[in-house]
This record gives sequence, structure tokens and C-alpha cells, in this order.
Amino acid sequence: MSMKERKFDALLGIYYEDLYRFAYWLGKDEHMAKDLVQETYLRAWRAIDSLKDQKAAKSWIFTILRREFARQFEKKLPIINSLDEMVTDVEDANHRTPDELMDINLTRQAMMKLESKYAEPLMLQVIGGFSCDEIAQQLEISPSAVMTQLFRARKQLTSHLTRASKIGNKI
Amino acid sequence: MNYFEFKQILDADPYSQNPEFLHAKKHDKRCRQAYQKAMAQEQMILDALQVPVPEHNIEHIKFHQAQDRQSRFRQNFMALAASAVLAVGVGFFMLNQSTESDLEKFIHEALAMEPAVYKGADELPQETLKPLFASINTAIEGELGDVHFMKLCPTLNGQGARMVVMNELNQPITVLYMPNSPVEEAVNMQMDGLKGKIVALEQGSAAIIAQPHQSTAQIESNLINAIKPLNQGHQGL
Repeated sequence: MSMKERKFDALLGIYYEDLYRFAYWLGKDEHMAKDLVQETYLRAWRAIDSLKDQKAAKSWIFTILRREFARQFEKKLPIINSLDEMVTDVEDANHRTPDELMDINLTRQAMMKLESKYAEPLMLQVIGGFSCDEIAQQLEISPSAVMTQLFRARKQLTSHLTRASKIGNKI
Repeated sequence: MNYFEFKQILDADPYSQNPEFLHAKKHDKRCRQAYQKAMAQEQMILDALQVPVPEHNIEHIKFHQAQDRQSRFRQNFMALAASAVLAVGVGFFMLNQSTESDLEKFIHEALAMEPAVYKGADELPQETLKPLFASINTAIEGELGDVHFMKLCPTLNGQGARMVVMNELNQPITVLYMPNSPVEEAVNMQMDGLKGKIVALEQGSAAIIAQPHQSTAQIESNLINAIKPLNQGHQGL
């Protein structure tokens, strides 16, 4: 393994899972996520020498992925026939109760319906682990706008879950 | 920080490192309870976002990085090599009888190259493509799709065209149009690491070569609907 490969692996390889999940929820498609992550790493590989501040590596590669998504896929989202088809079954590795599993699936369905302007900062925060200021830098908006979008994202998720729960109770 | 200020931050950013927020979380009972409730909700969001990650994909990515290193040095060479492969393939098959299995073999060899090598940055307008198709006695009626490369080339039974057509996810897909090689019905081809399908057209046939996960249904449908024989009515185009 060359020096460049070692540097690349150490700096960016660790974000593979986070990037995949971020890509999955951006495009809401497994194949799209694979292609997107692959293209992101390829672009990062070509441009790694331009990354001067290694502390910014995570933010840098997430930005590459977001731009790549915008460039390639934003206007050509796949046709989603049914939300149920898109939502992956929850893996029950943690031995959750049926109620917990149902809540997680409902949350996934709510995520699918969340507008991208709200979903993106939420994913950057929850999946990427970025702070509000870092998200603001990435999205090129003010920190207070990020706070508003995060607030609305969580509110929409909660109201979807409450609605679903009411429907469940009526049945 | 009072409860309402605390709640305002909590509802947007439960991970806030604001010192006053952290203090209220630790020392105010009402704030602490609200925080615990919010974190239960947060855990559910976190669990919901944890979709399974394909492990093999990272190896695939590393493979592509290694490939990229080599291919950037010899991209031009690859384009020339592709032309050579086509020429050799054509020469070989011109000597043989035109059976359907010959057709499959020819397509497999000639189209092993990545469509990405050929694709141009911009879509070619249909008006630009029509004269090229007309030169091989073909008319285009309706929407052919997002074509980023087209070049006339020899095929098994005369001139045809090689194209790179983008699918609905903007992925480049190779299409080989063979106006003089009709097939009665669609033929699925077994190819190493690729999927291939020869579709029957009103005039001749077209082979669509793609990665196994890439969508080609829309391209297939466009080809079937748009490619027609050039009749007297089309001669003027």
C-alpha cells in the first residue's frame, strides 16, 4: 500500500458507514447510495492532495458527497412506488420489542416523507455528528437558520409519529 | 437559563454544547426530565437511520481507486484500444456466418470497455443524431433519450452505431445499434460482471450493456419506440 493510500484510508476510510447512510437517506435508494459513495471516494482520492487541514477531512468528504448528489441525482430521483418497499426492515440485533420496532419503522417512513431542506441538516447532525455551526458552514446558511430547520425536522417527525400512533389506536 | 429557553434549544439541538444549556440540563429537574424524553426520541431517530451498510462496497471502492490511478494515465490509449477491439471483432465475425450466438459473442467482446470512456459532457441534440441515423437507413420518431455519444461503426452485417445513453439516474449505458441484424425476440446475454440484452427493433436490433444494478428499462423502451426504418417519407430529413 502506497503512502497516499495509507493516508487516504486513515483519514477518510473511517467515514464509509456514515457516508453510506447519509447517501442512502439523501437519495432514498440503496443502489444510488452505493454509486454515490463510490463516486465520492473516487473524487476524494483524486483531490486528496488539496486537503490541507486534516481536521476538516470529515466535513470535506461529506461536502463532496452532497455536491455529487446535487450534480448527479437531485433532478433525477428514482420513482418511489411505495414507501413500504423503500423502507428496509429493521434488523432486530438489539432484541427490541415489537412496539419499538414499529416505532423505528414509522420513524423511517417519516424520514422518507421529510422535505430535503429539513432532512439534510438532521442527517448531518445525527449521522455525521456535526455541530450546528459546522452544518451551517456546509450548507452555507446561518447557524440560526440551521436551528430552525432542525427544529422543524424534529417537529415534523414527531407529528408524523403521533398521527400514525393515533391511526394505530383507532384500528 | 430558564426552562423555556432550555426547551427552545433542546427541540432544535439536543446535542448543544452551550454551557448554560449543559448547566440547566444537569441542575434543573424539569430541564433534566425534558432532556431525557428528548433523548429517547433521539435514540429512535438514530436507530431508524441505521440502515444496513453493504460491506463489499468498500472493497469495490478501493478497486476503483486502484483502477483510476492506472486509467488516468492511459485514458487516451483506452479509447484507441477500444476502436482496435471493434475493428478486430468486426473482421473476425465478418468471416463467420451470422447466427445469433455470433452476435452475442461479438457484442460481448466489443462492448467490454466502459461507456464512461466514451461519453461526452453534454447531451447530443436529437437533430444532430437524425442525419447520422439516416445514413444507416434509420429514422428517429419520438424521444430517443439522453444520448451523450454516438459514432457509426461496423457491425456484424454492415454499418451500425455505438452510443452512450444516460439512464434515469444519469448513469452512462452502452448501446450498440445493429440495423441489419434482426432478432425475433429479446435475448438476455450472460456476461461476466455485466448484464446484456439484445432487443428486437422494427429495424434490426440493439444491444444494451450495463452493470447488473443499473436500470435500462427506460432506454429499452425508448429504443423500441423511437427507432424505425427510413422509408420514403423520411428521406427528406
